[in-house]
Amino acid sequence: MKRIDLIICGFGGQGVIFAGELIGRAGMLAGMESAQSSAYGAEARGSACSTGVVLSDEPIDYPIVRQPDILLAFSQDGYRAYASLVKSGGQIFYDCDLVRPASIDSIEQTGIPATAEAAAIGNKNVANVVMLAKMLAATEILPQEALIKSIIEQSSPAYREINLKALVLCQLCNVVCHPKRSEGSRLDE
Amino acid sequence: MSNSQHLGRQIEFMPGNEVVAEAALAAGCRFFAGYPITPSSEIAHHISKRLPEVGGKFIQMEDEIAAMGAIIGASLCGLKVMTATSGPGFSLKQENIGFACMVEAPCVIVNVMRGGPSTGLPTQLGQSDIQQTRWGTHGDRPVIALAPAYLDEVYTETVRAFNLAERFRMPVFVLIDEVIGHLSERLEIPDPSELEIIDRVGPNVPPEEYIPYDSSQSDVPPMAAYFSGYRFHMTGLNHDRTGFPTTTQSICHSENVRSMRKVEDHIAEIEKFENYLTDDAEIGIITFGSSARAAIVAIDDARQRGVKVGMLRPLTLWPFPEQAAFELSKHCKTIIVPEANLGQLIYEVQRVTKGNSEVVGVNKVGGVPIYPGEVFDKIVECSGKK
Repeated sequence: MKRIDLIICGFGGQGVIFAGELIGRAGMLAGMESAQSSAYGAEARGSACSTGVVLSDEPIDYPIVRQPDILLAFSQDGYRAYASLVKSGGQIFYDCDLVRPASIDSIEQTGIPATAEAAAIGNKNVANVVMLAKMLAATEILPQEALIKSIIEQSSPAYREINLKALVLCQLCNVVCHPKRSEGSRLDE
Repeated sequence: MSNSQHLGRQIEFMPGNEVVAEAALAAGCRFFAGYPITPSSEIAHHISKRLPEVGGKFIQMEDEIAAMGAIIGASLCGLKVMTATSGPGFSLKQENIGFACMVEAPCVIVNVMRGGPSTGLPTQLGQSDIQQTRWGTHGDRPVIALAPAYLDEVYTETVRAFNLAERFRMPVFVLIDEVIGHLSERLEIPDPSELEIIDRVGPNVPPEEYIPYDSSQSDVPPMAAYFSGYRFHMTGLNHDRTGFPTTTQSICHSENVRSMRKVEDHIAEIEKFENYLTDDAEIGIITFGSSARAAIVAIDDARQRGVKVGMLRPLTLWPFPEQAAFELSKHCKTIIVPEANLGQLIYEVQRVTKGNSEVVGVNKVGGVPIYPGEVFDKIVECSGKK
């Protein structure tokens, strides 16, 4: 059975939950079983939030992600909470302007200036799409076409065009910044 | 949700709460009154957009008590109705739920359970309203509560809730929890032509001959609608067949018993449950909702270790599937009851298994769902195969 567990974490207002909905729907559109759950606080903006997505080629009984294969981190608090839970051999993608990574054995970590690139595209709210596009390019867990379709179906009319623009631009110029290992401290310190 | 049209059988990806709203519309719901409360708010949010599209009405009331009153009123006017809430709002609705039972007004009440007591954990999971659903409002009355665990079941069970409410003229509860309400997953929405839709039985006599609680033909009296030319009286007091109050003991007794018979005499029609690997089970599990989804994973893992374990999963939680639980207890030395509360369904399991099995709980509160590993550990402990 092929099963991929993802967690996306950050603060309310960064489009974290929406990113989970996008990748969850993209999984379904790619013909996989897909389940997306979310956790958030009482405040609509600013409190810690996260979403878990399970993609599988078999029906999903337990839909909650406890140990992700892939973590997308949009905040230092989220990174601190979830980075140590990533499975050995897993991958972490983090917004390199918002997260200072720690050194973790057997985990590949990639910094992405998602919010900065989103601002350059014209709206920092599309940082979620930038992050998803770069993650998909690196991991190939789903075809990019599935994410395009998902954005078309799941986005509100006001965001559909700029979300697609962000995705296409990321596909055209797949630039990522890799942090120096020495910048971080060990997670358990 | 997607922009795809709601025609034909279709694959969707939407959260459980929106599934409830879509299923309600498919079942014929045309009136919703509610007061927003996490984690049920998306039901009101979604149906407030969709009801006007099908000629229905949505009202946000001043509180949950008023919302319950509003749906009873609309039901008496002939509409299929629903409200949705969570723990604290469910507590507030209890008095009017009793009124709905007394006047025999069909209605659907969805409770997306969260942590409690009181305001508790607004955005986090709980399964702590199991006994409140059964006993929350005072007096003897029948109760039907459905507890789906998967989103395709959320759809079909919400439709079934409307059908049962209409069939038996009574409130019917749909109990889901925060995990299910906020979970999006791939689901297949049936074509409307595939759905069985039941409407309440109306009077077959002219208005001047109508008796609102005439049970001479059936324990479920034919129901007229207000503003349709039929004039009748409704009261929360004990009443006779005319709908007017009475204190005559024999009438009060027989009417109360008739109300109970609506469920007691139709258990086979109402009951619904799933047996998973129970045939050879030596350890049984009885659970529901998101806890059942953890239990299935635990059962598969334990089976790989050679432990004979299986699960009875009630989709109709009330009335509880007594006979199925009793049958399971005949060949299980232990029955495990995982639930995200400190022990509620376990009392019913203990009662109906009549001492055949040792009944133990896996209980957790604090907003986090039960993990498969926690159920697995209990299975291994009970099997003695450490």
